[in-house]
Amino acid sequence: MANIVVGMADCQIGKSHDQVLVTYALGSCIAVAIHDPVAGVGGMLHYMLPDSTISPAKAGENPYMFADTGIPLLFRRAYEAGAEKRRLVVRVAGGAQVMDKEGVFNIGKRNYLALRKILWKAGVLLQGEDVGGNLSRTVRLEVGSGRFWLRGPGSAEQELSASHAAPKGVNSWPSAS
Amino acid sequence: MAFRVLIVDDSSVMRAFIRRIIVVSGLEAAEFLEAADGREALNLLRREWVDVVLTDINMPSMDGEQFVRCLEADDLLKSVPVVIVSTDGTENRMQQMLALGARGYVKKPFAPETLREELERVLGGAYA
Amino acid sequence: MPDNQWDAMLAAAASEVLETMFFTEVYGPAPVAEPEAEPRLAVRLSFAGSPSGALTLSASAAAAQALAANFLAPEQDGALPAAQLAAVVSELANMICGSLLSRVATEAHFRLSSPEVAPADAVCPPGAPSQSLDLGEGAIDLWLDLEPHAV
Repeated sequence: MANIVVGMADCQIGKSHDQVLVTYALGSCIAVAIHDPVAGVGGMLHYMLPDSTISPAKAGENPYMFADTGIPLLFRRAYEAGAEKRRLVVRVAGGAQVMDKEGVFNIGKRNYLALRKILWKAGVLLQGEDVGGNLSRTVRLEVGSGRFWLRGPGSAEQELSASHAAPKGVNSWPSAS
Repeated sequence: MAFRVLIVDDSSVMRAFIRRIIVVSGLEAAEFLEAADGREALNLLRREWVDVVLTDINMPSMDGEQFVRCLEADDLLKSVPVVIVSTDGTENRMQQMLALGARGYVKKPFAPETLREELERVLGGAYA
Repeated sequence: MPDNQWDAMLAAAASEVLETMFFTEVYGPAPVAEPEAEPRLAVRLSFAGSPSGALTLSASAAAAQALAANFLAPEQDGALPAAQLAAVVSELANMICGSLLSRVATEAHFRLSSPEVAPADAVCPPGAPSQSLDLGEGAIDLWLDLEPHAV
């Protein structure tokens, strides 16, 4: 297996069956993993913040830093590699509250809500998610098989299967009141 | 295999939201029918066949509870599966509607994937 | 039930609905708005059961547009027509009310009326359970008018 590392504020596309897209230490950041099982194309984005309007200059330098600029690019790059929207399996992980357990800044949840808004507008539903909590995650996507694995600190790797399981969604974070 | 779905809710925008979920979910909906209350839905069902009904509870003219009772009392219509989509998330309401014959229950507010999953379950996987 | 418990439940119900179906976070209490700072859209619905009363939701124009765009995901960007804004804000109020009443679990089922547009200058009566929420893009005010025998 050939590992392709997706760094923080980064996006990679894989087109070979032996490639694995992997990203590490997802704290409040979110990884979006997409896979077209027919075209054999996989993509992964690791973004940090929800909204590029706070810093258009930074988004210009690196659109993958933000959900609103990074997610559309991830999909576009996958289409350019041969993926088709209707076949894409989309899974997400991350959005933890690792920096501040009281959740005062709540960047993890904001990243998740930004993702949900963008995907709904694009007409894309999720087939799996592991978000919230307060532990960092490492995730990998096998381009050949489409299997998506995640691991927390000190825990064994587990597969997040594309089972259409209903997400906990916004209940993955402590409620505000 | 494509299916016909009837969406019953007094909110036109909620009907549109549900319709959109079904369209983008990849489920093969052949046709969408809509009604704003139970009475309108019943009149529609006496003319048209559908494979599944999604209905709210709190509606004017005829509410979801009365609508489901009417379906269950009809020899032909009682076989149409009904999924409740309601703001009433209390356990006793859910149990009541399932006991009356509803096959599924989705509490508002819901993530789009939640409705997709419940619809897939009730349709039995034949339409994915 | 003491008013501050109603306040807390109203906040929790609003957050749940806004986040789950409108992908909108509540940033915190809204800053006090200047009178007539911008047009508002208000809706009111009544509920019967245990308790009975009414919920009013008043949204700033900016909030109404943002919420409707998030919910409807229209193909074209741009201002949505007033009728659609009213329908979306009505459904938001309906779901917040239902979520709130579902938390006050009692044996009796609750019934909700269809929301109706209320006067745009409707204001929260003093002392009523209420929440004023900053959504980033605009703000919404919510308040309850509970019938006297409410527990």
